[in-house]
Amino acid sequence: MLCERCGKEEATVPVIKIVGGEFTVMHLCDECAEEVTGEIKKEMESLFPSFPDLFSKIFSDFPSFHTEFFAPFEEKIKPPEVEEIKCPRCGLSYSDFRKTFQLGCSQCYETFKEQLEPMLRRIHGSIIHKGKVPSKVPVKVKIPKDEIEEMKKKLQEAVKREEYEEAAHLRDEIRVLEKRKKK
Amino acid sequence: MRFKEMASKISQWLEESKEIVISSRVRLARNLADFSFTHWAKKEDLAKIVERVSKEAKTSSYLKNALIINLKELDDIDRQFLMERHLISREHAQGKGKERAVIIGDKEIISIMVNEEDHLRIQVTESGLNLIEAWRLATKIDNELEKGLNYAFSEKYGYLTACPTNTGTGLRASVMIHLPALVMSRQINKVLDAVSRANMAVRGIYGEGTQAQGDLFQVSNEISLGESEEEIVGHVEKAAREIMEYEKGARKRLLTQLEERVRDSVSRAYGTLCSTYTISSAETLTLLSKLRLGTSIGLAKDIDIPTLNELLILTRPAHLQEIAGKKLSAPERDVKRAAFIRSKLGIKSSE
Ligand SMILES: [Zn+2]
Ligand SMILES: [Zn+2]
Repeated sequence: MLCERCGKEEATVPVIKIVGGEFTVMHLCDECAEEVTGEIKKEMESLFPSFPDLFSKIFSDFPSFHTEFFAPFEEKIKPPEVEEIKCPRCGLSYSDFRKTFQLGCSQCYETFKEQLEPMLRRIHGSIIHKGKVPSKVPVKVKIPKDEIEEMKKKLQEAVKREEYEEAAHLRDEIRVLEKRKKK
Repeated sequence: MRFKEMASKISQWLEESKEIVISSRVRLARNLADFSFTHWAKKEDLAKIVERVSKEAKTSSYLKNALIINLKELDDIDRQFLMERHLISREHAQGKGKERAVIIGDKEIISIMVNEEDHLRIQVTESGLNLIEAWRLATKIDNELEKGLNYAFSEKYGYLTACPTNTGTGLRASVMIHLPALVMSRQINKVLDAVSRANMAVRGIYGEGTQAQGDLFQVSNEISLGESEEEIVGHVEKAAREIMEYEKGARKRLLTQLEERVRDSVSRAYGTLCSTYTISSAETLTLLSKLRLGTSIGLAKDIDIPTLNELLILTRPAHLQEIAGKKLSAPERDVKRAAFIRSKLGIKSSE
């Protein structure tokens, strides 16, 4: 069969087309199919108009923030000496971590804290665990006091720098930790 | 090769799978506090981890008849076979010479990868949309294991994982979902975009993005820290339900507005599968997807979902080779695959 559009090439692709709300199948050559598909996409979108709207409504209660964590993070803080930091327990350096995106041991979370926390926040929108606690760790989670003090200092600095988004995060996190301490 | 018997049947969770959402899976990432993370640990330590976890697993009431397999002892086909059954990840199958294991529970519902990216990856898979059950069971196993194992845990960050994308709960909840009508009506990109805007990840089970073969997708959470396990599981379940509704809507539209076209593509797929003498795994996936769609909208009444599930897994390359009991070249596999499909569809071979 020859292409219904140009009438020259052999028709290789059946394409579904909507004309006045009716579906028809057109038999087209590769080239014409390519061109027609663009138009069809628009028509399909008008046929299924409810998709994007409904979705944004349904998902509105989901947390929303972007997850491109590495690139923006890199631009923001990367003094060369950071690359040299090494975990005292496992010996992994920050540049090792950057290469594989794998930490070396549980101690690394302390070692690279300054770099990791903004990254964790970018990935997860939070840096405070809210879920299951292993039975061996006492339920009344013991957060060291200076941890909270340290975060309060960071909060003040963030406010001074007028970084309100960061400040809001810290404020919420301090609240969670303080509440947990009181329990 | 050592899985010939296992290769003749599919896992139970797949046997009972439903339309659209095929299965639900929950995975918990855990690490032992006393060792470096897998990729950074010494060889002797990795062996110790396998030993400790295996010992602890044997005491678990959920893993009584579990198979403990050291992956180093398997050949390539065996490891690929376990991957095709979703018992281990691609990474776990490929890790060369590394001390690593998999613990497979009764009925293949539970599988624990030891020394994958994290020391433990506890996985539970259930049929259909059933993330909550999967999560409950995974938690029970985790509770048992943690009695004897010293997990890396921080009061602030939660469970500590090798990659910061898993920190916190270490939980990944995912569903395997079949979306042929959304693909056919070119709506799939919109759905996938909306899902990723809700901080969920979508990928093809076989192949990536809209090129996903067999129209099979996996939807899972991206956030593991700052939300509780219940919240994460709830979000993924809800997203899966929404996507399912869209797929149903798209199926209805296709059927009312394009019935002949759909009918044609379903019966052609059936015709090809019944009469093939050599077929690639990619074409098999494409045709099975059409047949699955046909079955669920009443266009291929004599074929049931369990048969299609069998055809989906048992025609994968390593399964064919395990069943044959020998290594087969790609053209040889294509012939075996065709014969297997014909026999499953009740077509007498004229050979
Ligand atoms: Zn043309
Ligand atoms: Zn370390």
